[in-house]
Amino acid sequence: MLPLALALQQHPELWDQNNVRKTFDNSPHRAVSDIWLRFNQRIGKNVGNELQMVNYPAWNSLTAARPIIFDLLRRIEANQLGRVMITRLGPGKRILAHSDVLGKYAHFYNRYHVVVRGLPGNIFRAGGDEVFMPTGSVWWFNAHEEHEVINNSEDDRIHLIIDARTN
Amino acid sequence: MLTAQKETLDIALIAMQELFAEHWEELALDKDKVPLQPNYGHYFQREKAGEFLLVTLRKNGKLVGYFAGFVAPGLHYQSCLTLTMDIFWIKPADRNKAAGALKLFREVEREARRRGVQRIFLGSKLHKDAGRLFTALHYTPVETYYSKWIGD
Repeated sequence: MLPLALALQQHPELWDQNNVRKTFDNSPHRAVSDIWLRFNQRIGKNVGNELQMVNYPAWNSLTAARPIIFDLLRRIEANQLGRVMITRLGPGKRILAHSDVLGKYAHFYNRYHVVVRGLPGNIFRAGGDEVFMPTGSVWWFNAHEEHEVINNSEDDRIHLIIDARTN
Repeated sequence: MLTAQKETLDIALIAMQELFAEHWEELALDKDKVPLQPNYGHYFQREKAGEFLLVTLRKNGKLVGYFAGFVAPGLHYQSCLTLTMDIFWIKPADRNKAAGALKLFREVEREARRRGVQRIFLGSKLHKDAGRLFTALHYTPVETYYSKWIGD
């Protein structure tokens, strides 16, 4: 994770260039900062039904993310790459409970979390289970289940989120 | 913020070791004869065998308490998966109104249930009795241990 963590430190201007996930009404992600590497080409009413994503400028700024992304795709034998985001949740902050069930997109891709920084006290609850995701670990979880995050660790929680289709 | 979460020894042990001296000072028996010398190898072995349960209490990321116990079929009752407490301690400054302890034990029970545990045994030193806490959590006193020093 070190090359990507260093790259993020070197490019603080990339955070929140696209902040629609935190600013819509009742967003559960209002405490989260994003960097979009791949996302919808247009952000509008149909954003949850579009399945083809495009590269954003951060894809070229954060080349250190690519080996991680393509290693994961190879391991899971993915045949399509969806959204790729890096998210940051500060210490003491939360992602509120929610389920990702709306639109075709939510049912087309699987969601994987690669932990760029995860320190003890950082709790991910999903579907009645609760885990600590340490730095360097990789997780799939069922985003259709209700999930939330409590970052009671000493530092930012930074995840590289990769949506991929495997069948 | 105070949270209780299951962790593994590789994550928590170094921070736990920083609290052991104070824990030992408060609770250990025969301190003049028996130094603190945990068998860490055994703990790691039991954890690797899936027989260890560790829940930590953290405040803003810093470790302020822990519960450790062993999960195994009862030696006399093989059909009964049992959690037996090994140690439990919370820093005195974080014992206010038992909020931390309640969080800690609720998480212990949640994780124990998830693992299929059917019965839990907790222990309490008589000179620092945690019985009120255990009673508040609906545990019932069931057995008393006695100790005698017969060494040199």
